Formats: sequence, structure tokens, C-alpha cells
Amino acid sequence: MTKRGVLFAVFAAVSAASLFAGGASESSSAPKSEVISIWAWDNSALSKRTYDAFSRVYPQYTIATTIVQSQDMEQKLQTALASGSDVPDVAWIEATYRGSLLALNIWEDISKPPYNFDKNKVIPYLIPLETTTSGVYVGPEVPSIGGMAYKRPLAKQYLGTDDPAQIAAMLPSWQAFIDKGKQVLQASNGKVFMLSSLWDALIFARQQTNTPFVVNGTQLNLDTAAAPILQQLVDMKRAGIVDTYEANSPSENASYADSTHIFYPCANWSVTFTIKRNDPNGSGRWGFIVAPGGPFPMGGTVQGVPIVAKHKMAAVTFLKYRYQSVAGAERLRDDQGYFSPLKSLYDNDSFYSKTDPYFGGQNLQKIFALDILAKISNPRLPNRYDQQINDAFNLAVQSLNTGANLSVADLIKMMEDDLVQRDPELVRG
Amino acid sequence: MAKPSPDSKTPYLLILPYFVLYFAFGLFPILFSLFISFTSWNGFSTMTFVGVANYVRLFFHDAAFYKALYNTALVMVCALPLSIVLGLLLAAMLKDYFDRSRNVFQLINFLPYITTPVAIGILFQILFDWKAGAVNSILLAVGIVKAPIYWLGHPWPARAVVVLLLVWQGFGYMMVIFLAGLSTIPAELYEAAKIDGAKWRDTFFRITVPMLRPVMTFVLTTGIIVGFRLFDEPQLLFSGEGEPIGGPDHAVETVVMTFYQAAFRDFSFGYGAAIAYGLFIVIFFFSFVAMRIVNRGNDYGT
Repeated sequence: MTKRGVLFAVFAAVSAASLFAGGASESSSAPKSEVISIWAWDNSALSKRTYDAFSRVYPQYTIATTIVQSQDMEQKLQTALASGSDVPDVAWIEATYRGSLLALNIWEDISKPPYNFDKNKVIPYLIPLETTTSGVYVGPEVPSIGGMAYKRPLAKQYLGTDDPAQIAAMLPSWQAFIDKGKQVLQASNGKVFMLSSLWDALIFARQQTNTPFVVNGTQLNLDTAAAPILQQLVDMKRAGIVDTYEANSPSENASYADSTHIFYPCANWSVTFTIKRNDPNGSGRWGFIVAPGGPFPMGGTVQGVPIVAKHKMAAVTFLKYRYQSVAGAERLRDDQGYFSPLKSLYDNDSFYSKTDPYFGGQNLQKIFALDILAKISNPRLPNRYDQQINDAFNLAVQSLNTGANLSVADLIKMMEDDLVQRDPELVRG
Repeated sequence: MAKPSPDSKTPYLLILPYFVLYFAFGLFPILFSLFISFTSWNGFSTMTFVGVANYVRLFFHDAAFYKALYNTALVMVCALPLSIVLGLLLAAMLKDYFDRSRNVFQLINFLPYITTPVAIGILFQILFDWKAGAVNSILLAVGIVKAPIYWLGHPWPARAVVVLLLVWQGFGYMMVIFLAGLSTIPAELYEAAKIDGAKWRDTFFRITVPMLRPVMTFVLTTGIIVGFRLFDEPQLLFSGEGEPIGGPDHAVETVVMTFYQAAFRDFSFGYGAAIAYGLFIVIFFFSFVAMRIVNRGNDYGT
């Protein structure tokens, strides 16, 4: 055979093989699965495990995730809707951006026919957080709730005990926290702080209150709603018990593993994604208590289905599996350490019960479920100006963080000026 | 040879793709954004015609716009001359003293320009971190400062960091453009000057700088246009979770950041478009002034 002949034979063989391969796949009788598109910022193996579990129960559906960061979700959705391009079947709506996103008239009410997502099965305090001002129930979320984590060796050294019950009893209020912080500061020659960042102090102070920042649509209510929050921050700053790290900066993240900062705000998701990640060798040296001032919501991500989504029924089937079934709740709990919004689960003391050696053997799931989640009833409702309020708080807290001797009135004025300047619709209180 | 038919459609068909693409992706967005600047629209609700209300708000009521304009101009006035001077000096020195290793230095100095702004933003964020940044560590170790400087927490240090970032990023580009300009200056001029006893400094100021005037016009004009469009670097430098938009007291919030804020965070496409056109007017004015100043006394083309 000539060289040309050999080449021809090889080409013919390859072509025939590919034809047969194509024919085989064409003739396959496997049903085509419907792809549910989710825009989310978490595409980790843990999330995928939950999605795979769903696809095993509902083989007609598969899930495709597109990474969209929480702060970009608004823009991506807006651009997709304005340009008429594909929107997701499920979009994640993070707490900070929830107010403005819910204010857009783009969400399907999945509690209505033909979807019939049963709102009555949802933990009651979550429902208003997931409903637009016009009454559209947008979608469920895992309850995100917070307490306070602490470093046991530092607590033992400066508070005299590392026992959670004793520490919680020692810190019944934020004033007690400040007083104890002054003692710690003195005992450590100014080296040990109660908190690493003023933004951490802000999380507690802001989430433990529920007065709206904006009333009557566009009227700022900062004198009533923000003043107590800022007062707590100013008191802590003046007492010198908070270090000057910026929120989630590399240096603040590194502080989780150091021996100079005792307390941190801790949501249920922070255990895996913040504390264990930033202090990988810290097993046994962490403890957890309900924060002074009580339980509070911390974060939260609503799963919304846009009206113009292509696979709405499939999307709601997924949401029902994940958020309204025991199997979905087990996956959330075991794969990701999340709690379910299915309220019937909390009648059973043993569903959320698992000790964690990292936290000295504390049963964190039980504390979160019974001592925190069950006691949250009336959180601050989302508002379309939440993001602007958040930006204004950042401006005020950063100014306070620089060491400037600012009063609460100065900070309120700074926030009001900024908000009104940015959005002329807003009026001063 | 056959003469082409006077009514042949071929030339029009050949240039058609360009015009189609230009109308679709160039002219239409420009005209459409001009149109929506006269409306109130959030991208998907009904568009409401509001006349010049967005421009009235922009030019007469929006202090944030003027502050952003001030910030942008300030950063540019500091960064642009520094980049030009450094780029020009480096280009002249590379040409005269580093003939053999010129390519290596050229590449090294050009690298920051082709580095992605995301990486640069994060790099400078880490370098100038208040608590753990290398800059503060060095300053403290050398004894220049006694307490760490909160670079990204105070307005003026934050602006200084942005200026430094822009100069570091931009002077390599200037250098390459000036090197291209230098290659067009006849060598005889330098030889004649050398014979007359001129030193390097004399040839630099009396031959190099005047002969590079057209290049200077180009870098200055494009520098102003790029400078007014400044967005990525300060946006990324202050993208931390607790960072206020545009840094402390919005000290490095640029006009494009204000535009982005209005259009893509506040859903005000109409007002965002008005900011974009406001910026266009500003860029047009300053570019025109800069060209007039640089070309003063220039008789090219007359």
C-alpha cells in the first residue's frame, strides 16, 4: 500500500468510528434532562453534593451553577433582563442586596399555583424577609443566625474561665462586655482586645436591633434606628477594647489564629467558612456562646425565581426538595452545616444535634437551633435602601476607626449627608 | 483591462460589514445612551421621558459628581505629569546609555502596564495594609514613622496611594511611546550638537523635548482621556467588605465610579447616562484645552 493509501485508510477508519459513535449517541433512548440554571457565589464540592443528591431523586433534572458574586448579582440580573438574554432559574439574593432586589418587580410568587410552595411550613420570622412589599413570596432561604465565638485559652487567662455558661453569665449585656474589656486591656498591658474590628462590633449592634433605617418610603430614621448602634460602637472605641482591623481584611482574617483577640461574631456558616478556615489548627481552642444582647440573624440568602426564567416549575421542585423536605434538610445539615427553614424539624430535639471537637465538644447545632434560631422573632425587614445604608455605615465606621474623636451626632450627620447626596429621593429625618 | 462598471455594488458590499458593525456596536449605543439620558429608566420598567431633569440634577444639584470630578482631576494632575516625566527620562536614557540591554529594561518597565488592574489593586491593598502591609513595616523598621500610617483609611494618603499606583502602572507605556518618538528624531541633530560641545542635558532639553512635541500631544491627550475614565484601580483598591465606596470620605471616588454607582447599583440608567455624557463634555473640554496649550506656536500643517 502506498503512503497515500495508508493515509486514506486511516482517515476512513476514523471517520467510520466517529459516525458509529455519533449514531450510538443518537440512538440512545435516555431521556433528556432539564437543566436548572442557578446563579450563585458558592460552587464548592459541598454544594455540588447537595445538587447531585437532588438529581438522584429527580433524574429528569440536573443543576448548572454559574458563579456570580453577591455584590454583582444585581448588575448581572439587571443587564440580563434589560438585554433580554438568559436569566437564571434560581438567583441567590444576599441579605445586603435583598431590599433593592426584592423591590424589583421581577420575581415569581412561588407560593401561588401552579408552583404551590407551602409558606406555612416555613419558620414564621423568615416569611416577611422573603416577601416583597407588594406581597410576592419570592423564595426560601436557610436561616442564618449568629452568636459569639471566643478563644478558650485567652478566655481562661483573662476572664478566669473558658466555660461557655460562665462566660455567658459574665457578659449579660454589652455594657458588661465593655467593662470586662477594660479589665482585659489593663491586665494585658493594652495588648489583648475583646474584638478585632469595629465592623464586628457593628454586626452585633446592627443585627440585634430591628428599627427601620428608612420610614414612610424615603424618610431617613437614623436618629432613632442608627443612633443606639453607633453609640455602642463609640462606647467600645472610647473604652479601647476593639482593635483597628478592617472588616475581612487579610490581617483581620489572620487574627483568628493569634492570641490577642478574644471574641468574634459567629454565624452558623461562619463555623466552617470563617473560623475553621482562618484557624485550621485551632481545634479545641474555640468556644461559643449566645452573644450579649441575645440571638440575632446574621446574613441569609433568598433563592428567587425570576418571572422570565425558563424552567420555573423545575426550579420550584428543586426548592421544595431542598427547603421543604427532610431529605433536603439532611443534605443541608450534613453537607454544608446549614439549617433548614422547615419549621417542623425544630419540634424534634435530635434533628440538629452534633458535638464539635473543634469547639471543645460543644453541641453547636443544638445551641444554634434551640437557643438562637427558636428565639428570633422580629428582625429588621429588608428595605430598598439597605445597600446605601450599608455604605453609609461603612463610611461612618471607617471614620471612627481612624481614631477620630467623633460623637454619635457627628456620625449620624455624616451618614445622612452621604445618603441624601447620593440619593436625592431620601429626606432627612 | 476591463473598466469597472460605474454602478457596481461591490465596493459598497465590501465596506458594508464595517458600517453594520459600527452602527450596531458603536453609533447605536452612543445614540441610545444619549436618548436614555433624557429618561427615568431602571432597565426593565417603562421608560419615562424627563427632559433635561437628569442634566439639571447633575450640573446643579449633585455635589457627589463635582467631588468625583475634583478627585479624578486631582489624581490625574498628579499622576499624569509624573508618568510623562518618568517615561520620557527613562526613554531618553535607555536610548542613549542602555543600547544593548534596552529591550530587557523596556520589557521590565512595560510589565506593570499589561498587568491586570485586579492584580494591581490587590497588590497595593496588601502593600499598603495598615496593620500588616510591607510599606508600613519598612517605614517603621527604618524609623521614618513611629506609628503605622493608615494609608487606605484617610483621604489624602489614599489619594497618594492611587497616584503612586497609576504612575507605577503608566510610566512604562509612556516610555514605549517616547522611544518610538525618539527613533524618528534624526541622529544628525545630536551629532551636530555634540560637535558644538552640547552636553546630554542640553540635547535633551533643546532637541529631544521640542522634537517630541507631537508625541507629547498624543500622550497628554490620551492621558487625559484615560485619566478621566479612571475606574478599575481605585474601585479594586477599595473593594473590601467594610470599605466605603471610593475610599475614605469618597476621596478617590472617580466620575466613572459615580456613573457605575448610579447605573449599576442604584438602577438609574437615565441618570447614569447623563453622568456619562457630562463626563464626555468634561473630557472634550480638557482635551481641547490641552491640545491648544501643547500646540501653541506650532506651525505643523500651516
